[in-house]
Parts: sequence; C-alpha cells; structure tokens
Amino acid sequence: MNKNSIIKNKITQLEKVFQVPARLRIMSVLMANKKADFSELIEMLELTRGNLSMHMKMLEGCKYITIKKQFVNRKPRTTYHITSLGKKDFIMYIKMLEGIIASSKVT
Amino acid sequence: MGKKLSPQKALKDLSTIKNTIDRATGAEIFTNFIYSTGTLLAISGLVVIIGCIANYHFIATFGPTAAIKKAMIIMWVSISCLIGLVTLIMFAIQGKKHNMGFFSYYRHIANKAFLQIDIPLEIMCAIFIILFIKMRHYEFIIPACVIWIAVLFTSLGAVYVEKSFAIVGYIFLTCGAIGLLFMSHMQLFFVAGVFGVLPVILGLLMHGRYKQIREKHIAVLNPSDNRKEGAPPREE
Repeated sequence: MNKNSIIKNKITQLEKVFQVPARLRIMSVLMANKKADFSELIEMLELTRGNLSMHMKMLEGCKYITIKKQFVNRKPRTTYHITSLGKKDFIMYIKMLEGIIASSKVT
Repeated sequence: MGKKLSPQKALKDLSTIKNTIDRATGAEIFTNFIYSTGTLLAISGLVVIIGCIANYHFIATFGPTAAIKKAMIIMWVSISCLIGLVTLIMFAIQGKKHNMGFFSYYRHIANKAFLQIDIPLEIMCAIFIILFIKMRHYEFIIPACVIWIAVLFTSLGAVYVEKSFAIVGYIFLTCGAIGLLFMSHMQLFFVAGVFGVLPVILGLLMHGRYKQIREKHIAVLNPSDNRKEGAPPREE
C-alpha cells in the first residue's frame, strides 16, 4: 500500500468516525478534560444513555478511548479516558477541517 | 473514499468542537475559581489579623512615634504586596490546572461582560479615593477600599450569576458604608474586622458553597444516587 492510499484511508476513517456530531462532541469533552464519567457526558452532551453507549463502543473500537468500570460507594461508575491515538487523530481531524476552510478561502 | 467534506460542514464541525470544549471547561473553571477565591480570602484575612495584632502591639508598647508609624506603613505595604503575590500565584496555578497561561486564564475570568460592569464602578471608587486624599480625609480611604472590593465581588456575582460572590459583595458594601459613616476613628478595629475576620468567615463560607455546587453537580450527574433503596444499580 503506498503512502497516498494510507493517507486516503486515514482521512476516510476520520470522516467516518467524526461525521456524527455526537462523537465529535464526546471527543471534544475528552480532549478538554482527559476523562469523563458516563453520567457527566450525558449531562453535558444531552444524549440518551443508549445513544451514548453506542457511540462509546464505536470510539472504543477505533481505540480512541479506554473504558474503566468500577464501583464507587457500591454504585457502578464508568469512566472514559482518551487514548494517545484518540488525541492524535482528533487533532489531525481538526487540522483537516482547518485545511478545508483555508483552501476554500483561497479558491 | 467517502463523500468529501464541504467547507460549510468543516466550519460547523469546528464550531461544534469549540462550543463543546468551552462548555466542558467552563463549569470546572468557575467552580475552581470560587474555591480559590475562598482560599485567597481566608489567607488574606489571616495575614491581616496577624498584621493588626502586630500593629496594636507595637503602638501599645512603643507609642505612636514617627519610626513606629514608618515601620507600620512598611509592614502594611508588605502585607498588601504579599496578598497581591498570592493572588497572582493562585491565578497562575489555576491557569496551569486548566492548561491555560496566566493571561488566558485571566481573560477567561475577567471577560468583556465583567469588565463592562466592573470598570466604570471601580473608576468611580478610584475618583472617591483621590477626592478623599485631596480633601485630606485619610480616614475614609480604607472604607472606600472596602467599597472597591465590594464592587469587584458584586460585578463577579452579576456576570456569573453566582450568589456567593454577590453576597460577599453586599456584605463588603455594608461594611464599607458603616466604615464611612461611623468608624472613621477606629481604623485598626475596622481593618481587623473587615479585612481580617470577615474574609476568613466569607472564605470558609465560599469553600462551603464550592462543596455545595460540586455535590449538586454530582447529584445531577448521577441520578442513580437518588434511586430507591433496593433497586438495581443503573448506569448504562
């Protein structure tokens, strides 16, 4: 596989992952706070539990986040942490967006 | 390869990212700001109490000689500088905690809305202080400074819609008015009360308020905490 096709694949992957605004917002929260609880994300992003779980599974599948489940005061607590790959790809996506905007201004 | 992103979609995505990050960091910054303000008030109050005790002790022991007065002025200037330095350090620590430089953090707290309310009132206070100096009514300078602080807190309360700041502001405002009207001949007592004891109490109350906000936040975030006893734990 040559370099161009690797880049194209990466861009396709980024577009696929971040085309959904909810996933973009989840990653933004994790970028800002490094970690967040499930309930915290629900409150902040105003998503349903099922919806958030689904997006989290998708992000975990991409290795963008890690999930830590524990019991605090006998109550379950799920915490999500952003991985270094998640950070790297999110920054790459932002740069890509900036690039698109900049190129549209030039043309 | 999927459909190419349009510039409009790119702009929308960037705006979504910015708004979400602002929202994610904003609440945390503000609650920490309440906590650090409380700490700052308590520390400065303790330092001022020590200063007042020292001032009283030296005047009572050696009498109000010129040398002692000069020493007291140096002491109070040092105390003011120390409190200023602690404030700057706290700003820097808080900024670092939120991945911001000192000035970014300052700009975040002292935003445009805050400055629009605060600056005209502070200029008014400054004019009064200059007026008192020109009229040689030095006894009114300290109460005017108290009103200056009150203006700062009430402005913070108005901008951030936070009652703890507003209450602290109104308490200082009342104390400043009492100082101007009735306590011009009890300077040291007034300073000890308003800059010493009061900030310690208000600082501790602000810590309480911080805990209250945090607990409220956690209660909202974890509705499972309020579930009926015996019900299965529910999260996802």
